[in-house]
Amino acid sequence: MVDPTPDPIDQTYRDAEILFTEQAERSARRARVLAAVARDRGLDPVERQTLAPRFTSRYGWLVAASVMVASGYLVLRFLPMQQLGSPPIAQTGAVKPAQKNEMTAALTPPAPVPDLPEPAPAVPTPNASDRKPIVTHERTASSSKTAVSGASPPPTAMIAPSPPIAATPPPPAIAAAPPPAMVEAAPPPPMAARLAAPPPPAAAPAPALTTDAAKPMGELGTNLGNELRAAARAGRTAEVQELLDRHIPVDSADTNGETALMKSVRADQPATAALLIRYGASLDKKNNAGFSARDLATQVDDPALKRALGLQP
Amino acid sequence: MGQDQAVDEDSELLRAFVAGDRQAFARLYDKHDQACFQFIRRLLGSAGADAEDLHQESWLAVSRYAASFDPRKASFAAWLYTIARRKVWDHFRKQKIMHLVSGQEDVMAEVPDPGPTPFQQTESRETALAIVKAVEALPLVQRETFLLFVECGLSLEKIAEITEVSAETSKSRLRYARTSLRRLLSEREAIDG
Repeated sequence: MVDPTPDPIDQTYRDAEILFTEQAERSARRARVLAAVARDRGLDPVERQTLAPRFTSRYGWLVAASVMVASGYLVLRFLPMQQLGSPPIAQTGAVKPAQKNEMTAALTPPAPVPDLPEPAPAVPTPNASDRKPIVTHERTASSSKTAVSGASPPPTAMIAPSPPIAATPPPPAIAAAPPPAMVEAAPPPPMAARLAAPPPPAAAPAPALTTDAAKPMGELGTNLGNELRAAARAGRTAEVQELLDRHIPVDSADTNGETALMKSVRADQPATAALLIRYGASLDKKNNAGFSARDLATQVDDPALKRALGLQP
Repeated sequence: MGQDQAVDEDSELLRAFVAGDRQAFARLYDKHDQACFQFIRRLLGSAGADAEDLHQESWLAVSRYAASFDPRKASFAAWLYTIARRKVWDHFRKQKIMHLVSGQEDVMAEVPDPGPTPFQQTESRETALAIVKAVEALPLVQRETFLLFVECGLSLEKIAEITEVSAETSKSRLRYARTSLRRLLSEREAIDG
């Protein structure tokens, strides 16, 4: 079939779209998408298919809970024996971290390349599960009523994709620090030595924040405004504060005119919203649809949120 | 000829990416990013707030299933827009946003070329916004055909493959879309005086 002749209305539309093309937004989008792809490629497809159903199935939480209970049982069961110096039991406990390391190794991304940013480390952080910018899960397309075209069929896997492991990582308790019995392979020191030794350090600082804080600004992403809004939406107050302390504009908006405060209000994150307000976030700045954070707050039935915004005593 | 070269180049880039060349993916992305994003954003219309997410998901799908892409069956562009289109339609289904069909198709007639475009006459952001809104107001099937043809530069045959209709239907939808746009814009000009 011969394509119809060009119509002036086509060029009218193209000309109009040029006015709405922001290079900065496009660059930010590019960085975000390529980073997501890089992270996604960090997980081998075979591993993804193997692991995804296990942890993202409907009863994934049950599996995770069972693992935790079993781990706890092993700790209680074998810890006393291990403290008595039973080598075989200590070895039994030492096997498990190796298995977990294999899993985290599968999640560990490969070496970076200039155009695709280096994926984030796979070591889980307390907030790793709710990081928004990296949308790695697939929206289900299996319900599509449209038949697959014979001429250009997309891959079967694309029609009914299964979400990868990275979409819903297991609870931190599983992949994070193993139980004490698994860590303590060596027998405890004598009591005298323990008394003479300096006290152990206090609880370790939050790993995610520490890791990010140690990075220079450039490594946090080319568009820190996106990071800020994603953190605000997910309620990662510490990360929001860190970004704000780096002088990221508190009212920076995305392509839809949405600010971090609007994101936190929509997601009903009172603590994050309160923090943003303290840093001077505007309640009255409007998004492209003409709604302000104040307007959005009226749609959320949460007195705590309204108090955080100062809209209610 | 040029289009064939572009098709080959896309396939080569995707193959290089599958082989481990990540920069090839970035180059492929840069070639199609803008048109793909505009396609998703305008197809979403009032639900455009999710365009960034769907755009990212589309490229993630490209990355994940790159190895299964067969250039003998379809061009990369057709494959990409098939993915993007399905993301949008799935999104509509989930959101229960169903304004897919309009009865306007039966009553509209083709209108002759009106000559100079409105944009040439008044290059203002308001006019541009009105044009974009007019596109977003088109019935979904017309909108996607129009966007695939104008924004993505696909032929009617490829559009027909992607949208799973006949080429004649694609042609009709494009004609109706153009007619609607002209009508909407002329109405606006009449209102503005």
